[in-house]
Amino acid sequence: MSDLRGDLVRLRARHEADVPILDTELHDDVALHARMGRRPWRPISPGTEASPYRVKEPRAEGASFSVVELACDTLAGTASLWDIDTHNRSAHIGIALRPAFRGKGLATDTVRVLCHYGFVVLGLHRIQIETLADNHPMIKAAEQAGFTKEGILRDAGWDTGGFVGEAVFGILVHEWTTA
Amino acid sequence: MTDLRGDLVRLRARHEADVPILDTELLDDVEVRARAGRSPWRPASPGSQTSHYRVMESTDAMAPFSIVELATDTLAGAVTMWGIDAHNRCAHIGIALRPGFRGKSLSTDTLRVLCHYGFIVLGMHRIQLETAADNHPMIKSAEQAGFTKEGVLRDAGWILGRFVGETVLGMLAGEWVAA
Repeated sequence: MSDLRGDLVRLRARHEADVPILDTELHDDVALHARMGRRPWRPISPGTEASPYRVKEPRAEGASFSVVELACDTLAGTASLWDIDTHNRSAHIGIALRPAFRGKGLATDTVRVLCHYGFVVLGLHRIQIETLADNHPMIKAAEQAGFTKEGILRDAGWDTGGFVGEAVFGILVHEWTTA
Repeated sequence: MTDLRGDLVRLRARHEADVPILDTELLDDVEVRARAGRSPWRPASPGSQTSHYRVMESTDAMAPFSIVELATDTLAGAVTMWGIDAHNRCAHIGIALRPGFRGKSLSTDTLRVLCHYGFIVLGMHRIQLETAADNHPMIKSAEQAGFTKEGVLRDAGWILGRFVGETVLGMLAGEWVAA
């Protein structure tokens, strides 16, 4: 079986055992959560359907993965291809790594594996990443994976007390092929 | 009664009598529709509940208007504030004029009236407009209304046989007050 694997990580479906770890380390941190999503943080009780990381059935418009670090075979975070649009052949990437798994190059590798999934498995033409304009680690990962900065949507997100710009990055399939 | 009125147009709710006119002139034209939306053109029978222009209730996330030209008191097109996000205090604008009402500066005036609605009535902080990168009349209208070009999402839309970039323009509440 060939799976979705890069140099440092592999992507697999969400397992039930991942959910409490992701909820605790990624959702329950209010300041971190505010930087990741477009919705305000709300309290979520353990084991409820409200968890953004719950196990879901596969859907045509989105694919949720858990990221596993190859070196230690351990859950490293979550990655998704969302808003998959088969007419315009485009989709968006969302990534969040557990705090202890940051700064190791896993995000760049995860973006590359997601691009393989989007371009080769799904047949997309364009993949987009949005992130806060001051999220330098994510911006670096996007650029290292071959994405081009296409603009900054000024003041597009409310991040705990102030408006912050949102940087938009894109990569096209032929840029990926030549990478 | 004060209504939503500019120098050339006023905005009002959709009336049933508008629907067949908008369907015929804006929806039935494959090229116009392909350039106006993100989904592929599909045949829709008269009175279809799938019509983009059917009478529908406004929601917290969307407010659909019909545009009336003041000089002739005639339906000139449709405009929607969509993706209204009360947390990030931002929203998007989509506008379509009937063919006989283009080239008369109605879209710039419509944008100004809708910005009044968004910034003053709804309390938005940011309003955004996306259009095909080669839609020069729309880009010019947006810039005349005070929007700033923030980026081009390369090849983001499939328009009748090819991928076309999508230009994103934004305006912040502070820029609107100063206008």
